[in-house]
Amino acid sequence: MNKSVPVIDFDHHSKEHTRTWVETYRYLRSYCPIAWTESHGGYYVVTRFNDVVAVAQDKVNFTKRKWQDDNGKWQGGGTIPTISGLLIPDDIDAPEWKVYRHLLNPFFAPKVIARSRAMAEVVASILVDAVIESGRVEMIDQLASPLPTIMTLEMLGMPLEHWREYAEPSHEAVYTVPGTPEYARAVERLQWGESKMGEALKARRGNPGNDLISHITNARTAEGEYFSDYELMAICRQVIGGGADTTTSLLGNVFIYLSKHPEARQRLTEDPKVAPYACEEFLRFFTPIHSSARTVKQPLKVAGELLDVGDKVFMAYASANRDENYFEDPDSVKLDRFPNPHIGFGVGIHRCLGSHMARQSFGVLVSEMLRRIPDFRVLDDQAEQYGTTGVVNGWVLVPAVFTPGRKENRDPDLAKRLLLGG
Amino acid sequence: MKVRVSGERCQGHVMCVLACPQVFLINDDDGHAYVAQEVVAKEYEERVLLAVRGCPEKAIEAFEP
Repeated sequence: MNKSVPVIDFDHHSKEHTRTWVETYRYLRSYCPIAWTESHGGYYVVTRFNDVVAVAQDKVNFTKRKWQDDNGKWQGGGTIPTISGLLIPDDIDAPEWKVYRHLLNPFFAPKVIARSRAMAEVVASILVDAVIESGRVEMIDQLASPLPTIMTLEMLGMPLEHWREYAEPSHEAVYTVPGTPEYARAVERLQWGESKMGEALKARRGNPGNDLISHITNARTAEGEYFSDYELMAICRQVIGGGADTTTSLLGNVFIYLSKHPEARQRLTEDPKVAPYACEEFLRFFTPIHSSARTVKQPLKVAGELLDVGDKVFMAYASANRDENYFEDPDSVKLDRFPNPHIGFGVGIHRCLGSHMARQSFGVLVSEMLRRIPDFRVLDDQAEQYGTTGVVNGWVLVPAVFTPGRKENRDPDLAKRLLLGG
Repeated sequence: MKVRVSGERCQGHVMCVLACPQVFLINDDDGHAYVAQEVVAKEYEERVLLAVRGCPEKAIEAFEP
């Protein structure tokens, strides 16, 4: 590839990247803010805050549209390599993107999300009940994964007891590398949930409840038609994909951090007012969605380099969030950091639609932990990080021990439904 | 001081509400921010400037008319 920028040995899916991303991105920000790698067919790597934001906000020169070519191979989209399966609204460009955001917004506004806080608190209590007498917990499978997934299923109007069937493959699909048998298996497992959601989309047309699936299956386009089955499934796939894994990844990182930093745990316990700022700071510091990608639609200059139509650009959100020209002392966690213009939820028109739900689930679960098992200690030697963290920075396993406590039994019927005792 | 939120740039990160909920409000239809009135009360000026710096989209403009 004839590129005038430095060619670097970089693969965001490599194990080495998981170990070295902080230093690699720091180096790139200083010495080559735009670089080229031959990995995965070749792509530019953009690392400075201002450049990442400029690319993400530019809906004229860049596209995120995903499509299947004549051979059925998926192209474009927001990942390198392109993963199969359409996500709506994520894989749609403006202005069409707006139709779908408009359709979904009523379910994701801060006030609407806040209505489900009481239920999130009960679910968190049930999850802690299921482990509290044992003094041992696997913090991903037993806490960080179920809460966001259960709240997502509640929003969709899908049976809550099936949460494991959605949660497990959603995590597997992001911590395995596209093109490997492990990834193919995860995608196959996701089909089960999709078939269930497909049945619900059919059953609820003309017979709606208050849930998101009822809302979208009965909604009409500007032409007065129903949205197609293909579009509706792409929306469901997006809501599950966004809801089931990302918050889990943030929580996994934060549990490990709090285990290592008792002073931070104490501050959050004693001063709950700092919690919303701490949530934003953890989003900045760990950047659960580590990156995204775009394809050039019209030639333009980025960081001084002229890009051609069809070039792929990797936007390192995690690097932007550590940009020393934008954040003072960026490699330190300051729980009350403010202002904190991080892009942990992305930036531009595809800013995470579920951000308010993510913040709520995060806040509810962390405060439940601090209240009921405040002395938890992560067993670092048994913790296992995702096999690839270049797209989602999360953990497969985070085992911990703590002083046992008592169950609260706040809602035994719901506990039974969630197959969590009772 | 006056303050404006660009409806075109704002994407609903709500960091401005974290900075100064007395000045910045959220539209429940699209989750985006707006200000009830452009003129900022003296006591909120400092918080409004924090909101300007805290917006990842650079969607907020504060200025002396």
